[in-house]
Amino acid sequence: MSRKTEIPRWRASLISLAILLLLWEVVALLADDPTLLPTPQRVAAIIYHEALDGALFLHLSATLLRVLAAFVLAMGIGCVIGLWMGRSRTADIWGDPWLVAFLNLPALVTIVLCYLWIGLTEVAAVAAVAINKIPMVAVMLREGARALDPALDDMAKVFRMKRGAKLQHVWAPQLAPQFAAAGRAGMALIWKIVLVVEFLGRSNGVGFQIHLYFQLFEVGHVLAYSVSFILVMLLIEVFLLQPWERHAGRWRRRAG
Amino acid sequence: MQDAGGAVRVEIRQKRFGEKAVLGPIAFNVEAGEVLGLTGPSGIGKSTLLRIIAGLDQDYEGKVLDAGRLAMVFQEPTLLPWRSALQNLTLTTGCGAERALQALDEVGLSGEEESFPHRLSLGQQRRLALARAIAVTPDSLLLDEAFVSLDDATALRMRSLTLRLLEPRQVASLLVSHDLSELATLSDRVVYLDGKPAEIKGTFVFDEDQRTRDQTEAAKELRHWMARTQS
Repeated sequence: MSRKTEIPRWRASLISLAILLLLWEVVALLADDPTLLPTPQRVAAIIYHEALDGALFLHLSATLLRVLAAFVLAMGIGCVIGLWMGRSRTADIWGDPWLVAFLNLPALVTIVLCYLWIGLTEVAAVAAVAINKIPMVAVMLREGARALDPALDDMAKVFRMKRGAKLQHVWAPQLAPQFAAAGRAGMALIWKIVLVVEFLGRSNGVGFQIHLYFQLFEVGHVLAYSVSFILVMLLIEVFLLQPWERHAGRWRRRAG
Repeated sequence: MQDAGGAVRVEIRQKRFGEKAVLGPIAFNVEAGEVLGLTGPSGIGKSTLLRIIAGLDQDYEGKVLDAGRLAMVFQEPTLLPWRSALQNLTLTTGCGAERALQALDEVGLSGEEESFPHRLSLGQQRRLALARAIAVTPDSLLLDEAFVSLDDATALRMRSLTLRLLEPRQVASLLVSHDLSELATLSDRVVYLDGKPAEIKGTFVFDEDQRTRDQTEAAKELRHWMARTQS
């Protein structure tokens, strides 16, 4: 009886990325037009040059700060709204139409309106991104809150657990999967919206740089900034999100 | 409501679910150090009554006075699966680590402090639930079919353990069960609930206390009494 040796996930991911780079290389060589599609080496050289120049870190950090601010704001407000709607039938009945309306509000409309109402400021930029993300977080957390185990609630009540302790030790672990899913989906969505926000109304950040090089028709620079920020988001995923998920789910493994 | 002078006093006039009255007039006391058994047909409202006494259901007519600090052992162990055995005691009850370790030791779970509940057998999980209840040093204790779905040997050990834990404590305990052996082992008195809405149909008082009575004989007497009460 033969048994296939399973390839480790990280190795498969690396090979998969290498194939993507190879494909890019092949298409770039076939296109034979560096102004339209430069090779990965050419883009890497631009990244290196921009990093030496200091511009890369300046714009990456500006975008990253906006992403983090909008993320914290959206997760905080979205969690509170989601928990409230999940636990209160009245809040759910009255809040649901608002949630549906905001879920279907295009990101571009929110961004334009925030800039028009608040002005071309940092507050408007972060608020626009957060407003786009809050409904999604609220929906995910609402589902989690609806599924909270009532028996554990009873137990907490009988043993007079304090509100904070109940939130931390009874509710939060049950909501961890929804929180992680909302966080992961949030990160992926937020940074893309942040680029649009920067594209439309900021004077720094990856989105601003993409706007600049779009006007100059510098595809290499557009790709250099995009790839750099994708790498930053991958690092956040690998070194922050995944370890947190492992930490939150360690009881399941120890239980197994 | 509190301060019943070391006892639980129950005076319920009615409990309804919508239009349907499930509990009629029910009144009884459980004194400190006493174990009152509560039995009756399935679905008659025993667990509803227990939920009212536990303060989990406040939509009823009447009043319940409890002795102060209350603890409950639920039908399911109802533990926090993401916290260790020790944390299940300290975080839930607010007791210190020393008190929690002592409670774990009393139920025979020494050495399992760091184990997560899923690593424990059902019997051990139920012992952990019992440890959580005694960790709060309760004045009144509610046991809602706390030994259900255990095999006979484990259930027997759990009953002995519960008896041993309750003996030195002046706790007013209320035990809901269908198991006559369990009632005969642990109770001083047994109240039989029946009817629609449910009312007390009779109270059986054991002649001897739990330590001296013949458990098999006591269960047999209880069975005969229940048969007479039902008819």
